[in-house]
Amino acid sequence: MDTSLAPSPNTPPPRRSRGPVLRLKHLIIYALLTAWVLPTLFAFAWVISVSLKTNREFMGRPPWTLPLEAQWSNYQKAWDRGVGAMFQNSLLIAAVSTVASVAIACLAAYPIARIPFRFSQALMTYFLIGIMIPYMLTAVPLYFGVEAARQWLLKLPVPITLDSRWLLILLYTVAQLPFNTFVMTGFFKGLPTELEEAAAMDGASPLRTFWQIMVPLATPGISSLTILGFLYGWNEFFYALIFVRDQTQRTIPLGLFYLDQQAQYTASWVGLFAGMLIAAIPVLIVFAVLQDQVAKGLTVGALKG
Amino acid sequence: MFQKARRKLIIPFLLPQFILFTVITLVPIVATIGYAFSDWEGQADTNPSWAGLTQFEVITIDPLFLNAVKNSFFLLLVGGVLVFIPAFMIAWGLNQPLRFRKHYRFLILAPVVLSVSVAGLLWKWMYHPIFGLLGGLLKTVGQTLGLEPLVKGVMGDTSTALTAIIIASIWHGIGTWVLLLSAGFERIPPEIPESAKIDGASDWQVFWLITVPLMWEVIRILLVLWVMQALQAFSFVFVMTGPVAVGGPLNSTQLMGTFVYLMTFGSFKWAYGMALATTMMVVIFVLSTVTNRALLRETVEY
Repeated sequence: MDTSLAPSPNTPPPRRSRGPVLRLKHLIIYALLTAWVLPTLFAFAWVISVSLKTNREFMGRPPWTLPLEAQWSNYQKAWDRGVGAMFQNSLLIAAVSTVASVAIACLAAYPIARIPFRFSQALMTYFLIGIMIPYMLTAVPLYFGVEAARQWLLKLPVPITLDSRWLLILLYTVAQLPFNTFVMTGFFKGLPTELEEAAAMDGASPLRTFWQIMVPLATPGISSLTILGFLYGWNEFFYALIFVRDQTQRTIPLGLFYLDQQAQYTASWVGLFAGMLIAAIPVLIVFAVLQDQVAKGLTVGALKG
Repeated sequence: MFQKARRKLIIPFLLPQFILFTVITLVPIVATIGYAFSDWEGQADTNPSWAGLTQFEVITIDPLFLNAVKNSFFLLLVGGVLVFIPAFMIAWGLNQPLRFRKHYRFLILAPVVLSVSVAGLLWKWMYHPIFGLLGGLLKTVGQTLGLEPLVKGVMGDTSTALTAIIIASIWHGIGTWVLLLSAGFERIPPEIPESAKIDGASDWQVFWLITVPLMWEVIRILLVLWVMQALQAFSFVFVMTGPVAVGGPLNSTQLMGTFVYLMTFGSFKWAYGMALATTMMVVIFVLSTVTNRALLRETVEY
């Protein structure tokens, strides 16, 4: 607490019931924060306002005007014209890739952190290469590898068309592995050894010890990585741009991008704005509810290096 | 015995990650670096041959790449100033006991959870000189002050487009930096600034002589992260200018990342694009290492 707030004999004690006392310093902070936050509020308000207009209003009336009559049907139309499919794709891809990546990284991190063996350090360094690498560096070979796989799957006795969604799940899973392993190794290293030994004395198998003792203890790390992973999968743009072929398999970031392109031709701008809100509102609600956990998740791993 | 039983876990636990990482990350990296020394070009070329350093020689004289490097460095420096100074002030402000602290924090962090497309398209339309909320305002300002770029729209003018994109991407991403800096502020034990204040130090002195030195380690790590991230930037430029005129108008927003994309997936100059990607990796590695070394100070123990 600020020591200058301590009551001195000459002044009456500050009123504490109304929270921190307002001083010049605090006024400056409020002014600063408000200045940063106002554009955000205006931007959100504007998107909501446009999403409820008609296209004619959007074109014909000044941008700061409110909709004459709220067109709630814009949302239904946007959902039916592809935003719904994108939403489901993004949800599936982000959820499955996050769970897969955190699970695989937990498995890999456990022996590296807890079981002494030769090459454990070398393996860690090997995986860490992945954190340093710009994604541009792997894109072209991956693209041709995927093309080859597509062709091969089509030539099978029972031809299979590669679903881009499963491809994105695979790529997002792998993209997050190095970082997840790095964080989970740190977490497992920080846990006390006595628990594993005690479990072994009681006759628990190593697998059971891992699953029933170590994994629950690592929950804080796991939940942070889950949040971070979900946001990554929900927002990723580059891989989606390169690898998604079928229009029905687009994710939200990619689909909105194409919706914006289409808006030029179909003259349906309000649908784009409704789509943007459909994409934004669920994550904003989740964020509002889990603010502290998300804040913790976003910073995990960064300040230990 | 306990150790011996556990050793059985090593291989099955590590195998999935080892295989996935090797096949989907390491092999492609090696392939990219290898093909950078070939002449692979065009959609039909299935048999590229060795071309030595040809691609790298082209890079050094390619005016479009040099322009992209220049723009990437502009993003690195101008964006760095525009992200770190506000982020530092906001993080410091949010660390004070305030009313509505959580509300402010929510609004500052909220853009982080939006996807790049939502954020990029939102700003692209905000900047629109006729239909956009901000564009309309800027147009009025431009007409009063006689500033041509503001009248015709900031995204359509070579002198303002990159800055406009940088502002949009900072609005989107600042939350993460605020959080990381806040975490740094929270690691400072409160007794230190408190006892300095008892000894008569002003808020200003406490900030510069105590807070900043104690935060140096955190600032260094974040600046290195910024260098790595800024030099790889791609999505905002692509979303706000693409896909037909990526890096436009007139390449004024072309970055290293978007240029690599245009050379590979845009014009099928595979070998050249891979040489560019390899160069980019070297630039990022060298610059982040230099930043790290340059900012290394004797750590203040606390």
